[in-house]
Amino acid sequence: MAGMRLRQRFALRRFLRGLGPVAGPHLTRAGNVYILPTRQGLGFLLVLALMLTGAINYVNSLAFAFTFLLGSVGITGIVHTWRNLLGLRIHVHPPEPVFAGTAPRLALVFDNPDGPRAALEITARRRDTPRRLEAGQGQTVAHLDLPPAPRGRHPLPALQVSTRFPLGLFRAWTIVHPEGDCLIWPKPAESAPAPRAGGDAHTLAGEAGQGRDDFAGLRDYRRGDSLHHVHWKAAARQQGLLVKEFQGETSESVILDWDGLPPADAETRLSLLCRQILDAEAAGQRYALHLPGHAIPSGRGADHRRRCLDALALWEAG
Amino acid sequence: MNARLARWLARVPPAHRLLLIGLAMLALPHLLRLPAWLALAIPALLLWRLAHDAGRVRLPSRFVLLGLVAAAVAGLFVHYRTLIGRDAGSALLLFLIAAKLLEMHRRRDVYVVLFLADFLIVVGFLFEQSLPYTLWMGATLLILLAAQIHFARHPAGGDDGPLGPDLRLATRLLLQSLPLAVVLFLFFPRPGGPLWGMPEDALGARTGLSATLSPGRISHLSDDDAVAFRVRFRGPPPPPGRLYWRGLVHVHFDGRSWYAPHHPVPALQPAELDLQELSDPVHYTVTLEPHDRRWLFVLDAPLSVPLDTVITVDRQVASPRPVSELKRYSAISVLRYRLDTRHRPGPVYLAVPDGAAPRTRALASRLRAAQADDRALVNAALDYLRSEPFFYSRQPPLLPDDPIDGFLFDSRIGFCEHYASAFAVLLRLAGIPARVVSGYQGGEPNPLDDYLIVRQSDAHAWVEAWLAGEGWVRIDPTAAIPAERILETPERLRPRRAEAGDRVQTAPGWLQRGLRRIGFVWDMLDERWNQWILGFDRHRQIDLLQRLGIDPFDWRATAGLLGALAVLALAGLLLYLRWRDRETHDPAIRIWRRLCRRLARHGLVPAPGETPRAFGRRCARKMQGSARDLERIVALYLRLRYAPDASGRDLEEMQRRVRGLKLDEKA
Repeated sequence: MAGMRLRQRFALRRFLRGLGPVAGPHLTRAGNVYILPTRQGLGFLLVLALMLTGAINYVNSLAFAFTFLLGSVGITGIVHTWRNLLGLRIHVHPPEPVFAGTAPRLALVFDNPDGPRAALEITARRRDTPRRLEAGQGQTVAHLDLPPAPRGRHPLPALQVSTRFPLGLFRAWTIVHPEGDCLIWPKPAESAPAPRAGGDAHTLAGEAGQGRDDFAGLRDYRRGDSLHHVHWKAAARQQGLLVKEFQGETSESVILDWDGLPPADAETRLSLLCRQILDAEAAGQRYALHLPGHAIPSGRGADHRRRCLDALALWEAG
Repeated sequence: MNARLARWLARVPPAHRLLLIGLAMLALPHLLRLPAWLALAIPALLLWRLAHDAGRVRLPSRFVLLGLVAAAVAGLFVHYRTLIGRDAGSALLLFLIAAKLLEMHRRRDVYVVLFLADFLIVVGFLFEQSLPYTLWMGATLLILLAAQIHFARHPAGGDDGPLGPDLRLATRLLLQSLPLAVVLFLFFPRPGGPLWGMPEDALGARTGLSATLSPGRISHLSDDDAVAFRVRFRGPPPPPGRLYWRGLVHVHFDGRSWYAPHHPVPALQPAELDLQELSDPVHYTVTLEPHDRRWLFVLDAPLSVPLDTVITVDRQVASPRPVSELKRYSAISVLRYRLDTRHRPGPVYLAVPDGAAPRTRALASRLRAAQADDRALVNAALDYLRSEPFFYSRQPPLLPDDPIDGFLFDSRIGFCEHYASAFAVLLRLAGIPARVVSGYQGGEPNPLDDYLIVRQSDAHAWVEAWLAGEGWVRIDPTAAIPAERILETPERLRPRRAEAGDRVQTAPGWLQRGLRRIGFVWDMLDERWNQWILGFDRHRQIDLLQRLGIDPFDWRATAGLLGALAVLALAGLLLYLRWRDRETHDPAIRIWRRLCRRLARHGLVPAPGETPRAFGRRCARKMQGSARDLERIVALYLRLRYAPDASGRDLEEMQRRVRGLKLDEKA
């Protein structure tokens, strides 16, 4: 703040969107809580002016007294509104990645050392219905759904945390602009063509064969497992149904390949790939992802899924 | 209240309950002066909204509502012949608020209702300014503010919480606003007069003296105990029997009624006053209740009158504008005087219409034949009233025919107006210039404070006659009636006037004494209220500024003072709020601090950096007798502060243990 130049200090942008993302928690203090009358506040001002005119015209001392009392209540209200926002420490946790079309959900933690703060409102965009909360003493967590965004990496928007409490005549706000971003995966297509079966690089090189089975281990039988792989000896020893697993097993490994998709524009292909990833993961298949200029080797599990989806989110032509 | 109604009301959202209560409180004092149909319509509209909120009825469609408003506007116009100004305007405003309630769907509408209600509170002070009414309106404002806070607390509606916090916050807001409000009240510049002329309807009909005196037309004298004005004397007040408060001078007599000029003409410069002082001048300040006429009351006879007033040839003092607000003025009078001795007054003071009062005419001739001297004639006339069976009554018979002859020769029962009017006619017919003066006589000192209360029931009328060599002389014919001829003797009906000395003193009972005392306390409050709040006008503001050493006509100095004090008030508010925040909100810490304060009295103070546990152990070693309690309290405190599952029960236990703790050094 001290280093802020005059031009910056009074730039309109600073009051509406802030001057850019800031790392760490946002602490509300005198320098970053702004306040202006609301439309109701302007109406109240008009009513006060009418009252004063009446009091002057009728030379009525009590009318003066109550006009001044109401005016003072309005001014005291400014102080209360302003203080309702002061001294808060706001931590913003960036949202988990979501598919395009779904709202990313931001988590805000309000650290409030003082008494309860009524009627706080959080918005990401001016016209959105604000998320309302009351922050009691201590920590309060609020979630805010950001507006749905297209695929890609988006920097976190500047948030307005505001309040009109207690009179509704003034609105105090502060701009919380956290560092960090929010990843949007492509929206999964309704359905996708079955992916090309295949192993990873070295599998592709040789013939697909069960003879090349590298025994990997045993696992519990799952519905749909081939009877060929049941470890019958173990079954005979009353050890339950176990299944032999082999590495480089072509029947359960697929390649999700950009080039293997029917011709379509890039976003459609990404949507289809997204669907394929979800389907493959659901079916317990291993899958590799081949994008132009980027390939992820075969794998399985939450981390692998996340890696693939992130790749889709971040993929750019050329 | 029966249970069904209670259940029914419980369905009304709390914020609306508060709003409706506030509006009902606001409307109540207005209902009495509204036309009957409107006075019924407004509660009906409020009840409609209440029933809607309780889920019983639907709100009217916009079309129906428009019809209602149009009908009300038409009705108001027919009743008041206008829609603007104080009376019609406030009635319209009240109706619009009630109607808007039925069209209150969104937050915005709530604010419209609240602001209109705030405005109506201020408009209401044009009608009524008493202390109880102001307190009532203060309570109304509090309720409305609490409603406003509740709406701001739950901007989306729906979850309507308890109202207690809102009422408390509204109270705090009002109290915290007071310093700034006082600064504005004292120093915000008060422009001199009306901006566009005082609307005529600011002057309603109020009790008080009338410009026309028609004895025999009115069958009873007002018993109104309302205060007419209050007086503070500089120095000791003169005895009540000497206090004749001149108001109106009635010169023209048409055979039935006496008339005072309706619009007094400034006929006299103070230099033209032909007044010889025979006693020391009396300085006093009058706080006059609004009576909607221009005349002011001054002690007989005024030496010096307020600057902005006019004084007529008859020494009637008038304000340039009707007194529609409380008015304070200072004057100097002299109680013994010789007035206008040089010139005999003109024939207008002798005029009695031909044919009026023939029997009085005959009596006048008889008296004149017996007494050549004017003074002797006046005394003979007073003797006539004393010797003949004249009675004083506040409820005399009507005199439909000639009121003068009828009173002097037939009924012989009357009050001051009858006596004064008949006496003046008698003197005029005997060739002595005479006029009737109406005003007030006496006044009741408030024993708790040194001022005098003059009430409407102190209204009086007397005669002034011009006698050669003496000038205008005040004659009070009513005072000639002996005490035993005063009818209707209950205390409150007994005339308080010139007969004050003759008044039979009955010892009042304790209840009467008590009630009188309460009455005096109340009147003192009322007087202070008038002095400091209602009477605070431009003149007093100028006075105050001068006393503070600031030139009231230098707007920069005034604005500077106002600004500085306003900033001071705001800075004080900010500091106060900060200080209050320091007082922590965590009840566990508060209780812990209370304990620390108690321990400090035994010399046990936590060292810097000492943890509560270590401090507790140290205390327990010293206070062997309460070691176990102390350890338990420390454990509870630490649990409340740091354990995530601390409960309200822990807090209660800690509180109970701290309260019940006996610090004892011995085991």
